Amino acid sequence: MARRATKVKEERAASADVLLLDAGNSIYGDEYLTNHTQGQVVIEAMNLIGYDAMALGAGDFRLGLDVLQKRIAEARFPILSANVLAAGTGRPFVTPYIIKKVGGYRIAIVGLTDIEEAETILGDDANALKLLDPLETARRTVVELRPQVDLVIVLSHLGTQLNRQLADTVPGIDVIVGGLVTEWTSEPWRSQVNGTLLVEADVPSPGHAGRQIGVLRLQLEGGRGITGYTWENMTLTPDYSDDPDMNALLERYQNQ
Amino acid sequence: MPRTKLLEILFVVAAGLGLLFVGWAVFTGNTSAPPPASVLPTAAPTPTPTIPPPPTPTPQPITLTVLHTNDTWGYVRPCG
Repeated sequence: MARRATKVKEERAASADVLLLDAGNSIYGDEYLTNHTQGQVVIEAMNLIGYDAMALGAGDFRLGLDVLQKRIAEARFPILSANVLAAGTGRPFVTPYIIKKVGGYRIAIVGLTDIEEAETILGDDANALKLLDPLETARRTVVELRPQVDLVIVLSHLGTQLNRQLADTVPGIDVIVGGLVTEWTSEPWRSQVNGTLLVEADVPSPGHAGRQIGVLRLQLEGGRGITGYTWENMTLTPDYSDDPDMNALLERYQNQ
Repeated sequence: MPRTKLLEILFVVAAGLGLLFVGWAVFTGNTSAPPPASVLPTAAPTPTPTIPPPPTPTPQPITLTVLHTNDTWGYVRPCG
């Protein structure tokens, strides 16, 4: 987190046109501080870095619905999912999407959650939620949003294969920022059908998570949309110094 | 005044008012008479003129940087 904070500060010092996004499964974890605080330290660290949005990952349900709702309330950034509803009311369980304005461009950011994994994790708690088909939800949401914005980004915790299917079958999405990644790619995958870009930062494994950050640079030109892009997947090695503010926050939790 | 003269004046006034009304109705197109039936194909109705919305200013070209992470599994310290 401390290295990530340094990298993000560098990028924001260089340009005002920066978005910081997380594709989900990032609140729950078995690292001591995270487990001990039921994810509170993660939310506070993400608040400090200044995330713009995060997708609700199925793994985040491991906290249990009550605790998860507390963490969501503590977050100063939206935790997004368009395909998870509260069963009782039929209303979205979390914010389905946001529209942000960056550099004069209106950018929609939509969240999607893998429902099969969510059902498995939730068990009986799944009855409290209504989980919608993510591709159909995406299609409906993008149709609604596309006329209002210049760019549509989907923060999708659906896994590589389903994200590619999403890119091929739902027109109108410019970029998918993917989670639940199963295979490394050295370049963004691009749909031959709709031209949608899919970028994925990390393929985690126990003991190896949170070290990667994807850096996608999109050239946007007025009504022409994306006219070019570059992408790299960076490993936050010890070459990145720790951000002192983040270290102070973690120290405070460590000493509690 | 003889009665015939009075009737003549009233007739002239009434005729004048009638002409005035017809002229006003023609001027404003507000006649109550039905339009003549046309034997020609009806032209498509003229669309109601609308005021075009003010042009949205085209944003200047930018480079948008999207930094992204996923599945960090709650790791707040370096791992791996």
